[in-house]
Amino acid sequence: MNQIFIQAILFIGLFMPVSGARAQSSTGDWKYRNFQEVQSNLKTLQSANPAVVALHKIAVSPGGKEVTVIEIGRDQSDGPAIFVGANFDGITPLATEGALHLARYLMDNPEFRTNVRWYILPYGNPDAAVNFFAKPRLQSRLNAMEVNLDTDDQANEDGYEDLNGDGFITMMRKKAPDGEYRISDEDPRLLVKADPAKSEKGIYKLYTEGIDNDGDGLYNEDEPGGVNPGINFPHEFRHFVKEAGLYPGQAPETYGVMKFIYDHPEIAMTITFGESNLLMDLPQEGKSDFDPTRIRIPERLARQTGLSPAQTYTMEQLIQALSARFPDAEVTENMVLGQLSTGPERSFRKNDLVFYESLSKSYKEALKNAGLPVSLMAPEKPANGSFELWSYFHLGVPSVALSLWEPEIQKDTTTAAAPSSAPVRPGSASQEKKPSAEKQLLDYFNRKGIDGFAGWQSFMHPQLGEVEIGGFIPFSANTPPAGEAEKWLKGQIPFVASLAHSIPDIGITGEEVTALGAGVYRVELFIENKSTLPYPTDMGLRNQQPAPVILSLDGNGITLIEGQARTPVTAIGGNQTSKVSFVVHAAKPGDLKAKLESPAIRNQTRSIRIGN
Amino acid sequence: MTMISRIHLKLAVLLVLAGLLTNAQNKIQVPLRFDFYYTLEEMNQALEALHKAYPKLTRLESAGKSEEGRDIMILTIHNPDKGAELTKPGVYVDGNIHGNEIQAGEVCLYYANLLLTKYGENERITQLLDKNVHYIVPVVNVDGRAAFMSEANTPSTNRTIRIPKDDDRDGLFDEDGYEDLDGDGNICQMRIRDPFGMYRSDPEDPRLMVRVKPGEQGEWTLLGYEGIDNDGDGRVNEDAEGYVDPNRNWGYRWYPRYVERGAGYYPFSGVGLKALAEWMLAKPNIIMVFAFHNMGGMWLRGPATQDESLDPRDVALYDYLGENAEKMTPGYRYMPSWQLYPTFGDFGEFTYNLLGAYSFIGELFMSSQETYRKDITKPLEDPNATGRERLKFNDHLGLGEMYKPWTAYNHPQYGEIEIGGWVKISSRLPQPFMLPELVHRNAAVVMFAAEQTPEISMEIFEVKEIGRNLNRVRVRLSNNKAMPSMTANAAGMKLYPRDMLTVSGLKVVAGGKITNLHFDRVTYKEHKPELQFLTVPGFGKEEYEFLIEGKGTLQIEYTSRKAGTLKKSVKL
Repeated sequence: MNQIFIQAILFIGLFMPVSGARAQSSTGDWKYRNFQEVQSNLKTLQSANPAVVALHKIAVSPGGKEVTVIEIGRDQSDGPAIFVGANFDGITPLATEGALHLARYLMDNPEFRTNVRWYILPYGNPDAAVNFFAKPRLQSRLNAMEVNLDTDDQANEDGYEDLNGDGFITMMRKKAPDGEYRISDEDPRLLVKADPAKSEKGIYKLYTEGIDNDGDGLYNEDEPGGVNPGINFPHEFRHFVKEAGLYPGQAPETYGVMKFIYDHPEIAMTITFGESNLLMDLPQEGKSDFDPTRIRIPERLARQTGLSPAQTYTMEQLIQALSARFPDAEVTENMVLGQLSTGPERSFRKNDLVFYESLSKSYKEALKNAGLPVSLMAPEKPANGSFELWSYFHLGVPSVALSLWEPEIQKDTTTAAAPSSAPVRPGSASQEKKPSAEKQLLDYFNRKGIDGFAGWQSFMHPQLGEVEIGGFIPFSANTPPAGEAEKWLKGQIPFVASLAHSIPDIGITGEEVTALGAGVYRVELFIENKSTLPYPTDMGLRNQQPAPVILSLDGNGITLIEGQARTPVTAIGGNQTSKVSFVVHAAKPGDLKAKLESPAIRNQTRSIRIGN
Repeated sequence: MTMISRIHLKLAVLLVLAGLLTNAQNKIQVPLRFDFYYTLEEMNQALEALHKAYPKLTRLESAGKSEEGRDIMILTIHNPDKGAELTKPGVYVDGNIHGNEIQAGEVCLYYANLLLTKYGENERITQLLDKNVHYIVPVVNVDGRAAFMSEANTPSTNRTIRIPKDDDRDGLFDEDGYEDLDGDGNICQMRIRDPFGMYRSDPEDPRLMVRVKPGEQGEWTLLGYEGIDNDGDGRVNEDAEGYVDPNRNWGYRWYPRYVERGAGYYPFSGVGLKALAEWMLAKPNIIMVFAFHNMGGMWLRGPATQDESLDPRDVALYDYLGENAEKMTPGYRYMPSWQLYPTFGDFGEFTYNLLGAYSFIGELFMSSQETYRKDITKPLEDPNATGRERLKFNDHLGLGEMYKPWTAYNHPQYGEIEIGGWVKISSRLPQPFMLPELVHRNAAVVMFAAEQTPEISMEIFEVKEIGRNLNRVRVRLSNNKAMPSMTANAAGMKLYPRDMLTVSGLKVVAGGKITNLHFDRVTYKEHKPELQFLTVPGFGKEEYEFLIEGKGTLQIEYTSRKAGTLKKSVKL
């Protein structure tokens, strides 16, 4: 068995999905609802409130399950909207519950749906989500598309088996002279990779639980199913990774979401419920090789502009050179960047980190007020090809991602870690003194009395002979027991709903009319953004995607001398006001109608008296 | 009137009617003509006519509908008696993905016409229908071709697919397009007399303009293409139809439009493109792809960006095809497409990387072919001479139909201006009299590539008893053509299962690849020795050895997605 495969096993079987929980059986009334229950809940909500609620079928999964968006606030005729997408990876049942909880909360609290409409997708990946309720319980992110994961002669031929019949797919370890793993010093249940540099010797080989159904020497390498819609979005899409899909949007779930969102340009923010948490684990400012004061240009551009490919130029110089070459075009920094083929943005823009920090502060405040711990194990980083990264980079809207739950850690070890460090993985976990992620998990289970780890039990494997089966129980590390879950939703969903109030609220808040004589007037209009988020984001300015806000003027007998009849309002930061000036001529006094419109704001008109 | 004359009259009327009918039908009759440009409707009629004339050899279907509900038609050509469709190496040819690049459609149609009308007559072509299957999509951008042909255009407008886009970001979509102000069916240029302008009339041919030099007084200012400022923003034609570029909306390394102009909102937001891609993905046998465009005279292959590199084995095959193509189309250059300009999300990269097919983009036609010169081997020295020569070409060979003389026009916003210049069917499009040669030369290149698609043969070249109840069986797979049975890229990226050599019927004790036949070197496969994965290289071989226990009949089967299936058996 090769190195990569072992790592794949670890990755899939142990540390990402590590989890599960016998303790997730319901306590009290609250329980995780399965697909049918969620769908009927949505229908009930709709039929009880037809004036406010609508359902949109946006796709059918390869497994034949309807992908449904519930719209709340359809009584609002226009104005901005928030899109909430949950459980794209199919392994976070709490995310789906969070979406339903939010829908209910919004019904009960209309103040959060008067200035904003909501589109909520409880299941981004309904096919994979069924695994949580299945027996045996398996943590898999794949939808039911048929994909030959190991590119051999058959598809879906080598899935997992619950060999010991405990109801969970866990791991198998087998003693072997060429084993790569040894017992961890932290806890005898854990295995770590033996480090030959430290004279450590491996004694175990690790496998996921199951048999080698197709006899190719690999275990469970081609489970039924194919693509994870949660990593099938186009930002940083990973080609040639089977689980990511052949191309972005190949999964009908993903394509349906992209189409729905672009059909609704009023969507001004997205919220993701899943595995990452951009308010707990803030995005970092990236490093860029691009220096706007020393730009080298490709030969093709040099030929067009008469500049030299050997020299460096400033952005300003390039804008001037291109303007001279294309006198009719309005040359912008964006256009120059496009000509330079600098490629797509890969890190969050510095100016946008400001609002992430402020949202994060309010989020932590909300957790504290709800009596929820703020010191949590590190959530996953947003994955390449994920919905949350796509939202930020392609839609150019604020993208909020919440994991809604992480196991609480006793001592805060996460803050000490370098902010750029990868999520806790087996290797990095063994940093001095700090307990490894797995050890912290075991401690957490211990404190909470959760049965999250299946102790190793010997088993006679038909192919491998004597093995032991055990390990973290699926979902135990990313899904709280039912008895705990409601508390986490109650503590966080009101904060999520309150994000409605941070959606850019742009309006004409004042005007100044100055008579210049002879019926000529200067008209100054003040456009204010009354909420905390900018419109658009800095990324939105870069990608030119968010719908423009247009100020248009119209008046009987009034002619525009300076300015455009339709003026795009430039970016407005949170709590800021910008001024737009016009010069008009009015032969006799009259009313000027100033109209502010965009799919992303509530359209409005202001009447301005010109003369006397 | 006598009976006889009445009959004569009736006959005469009938004859006239029949004459009218055949005149209409003559235009579209198999064998097809290639001395005019087909409208989209005629193109579809031509495909119908081919299908009707050769029902057994053809299948005509729609891949799906475009944005405006037009069908994207695919003609499939092969002889089904010589093997099932999906067991034959597929050659896919399309054109006119950019609505204005219409001669690409004629190349595809000509290729179909050539294959069908010469089947059974010409040995090479008969082979091509027996061994291969040909998928032909003359017009990918059906809405674009329809609009380009029926509406006024420049040679470069209506490339787009019909998804409205707010190009000038004023909140309105496609509100300021071109107008055919003088109603001549073309969008030409506008100029205004201006002593401070950058241009003056060319003293050698006053229809042309040259840039003023320092010390010279200007005469003209160019105002861009024909049109008015529809939305009153002080700009003319700044938000025309579209623009989502159908050749930037495919799913391999797709980047949004701030990176790649025309990308669209997301991959395959074009419904016709999505349908076509899904149709192609259901044809795993496609191994060779051609997509025709205009212009410039180029055979382009990947990579489309400089930061990607191709496996040298794939480059070797491309070089072989490309260098031969250059010789069949004099003046065309073969090169990686990034050298022209880098692109993301284009068709050829999708088919090469995600379909696993060798892919060429053919950029048809060079305006340098429009000569008026005794010795065309000598290049022109004066850059202004090109325009003058092309105008003479227009006058003498283009019958004066390629260029509209400058004519006064009273523009609602600019006032007195002149409209003139190159018309729609010019510049990027050869004059119809040049079409027959263009379509033939380019179709010949497709034929050449189709002939190089893999042709695998299997030989059991040794059966030797090496022990009690133990036989050594050696199998050779050889390729009689230049193209490997799979691209090196697809094999390296594990795009799909490699070719399989399967042995059944008796127990396989060991099996593996012979690495050195002379010294009996074999690399045995640890698990499942009865199933071997491989690629057969171009003009190359792969040899395998199996150790077989027992007596009886041994079945040996080779299956390849793109190079067919072979079966042999041997009695031990």
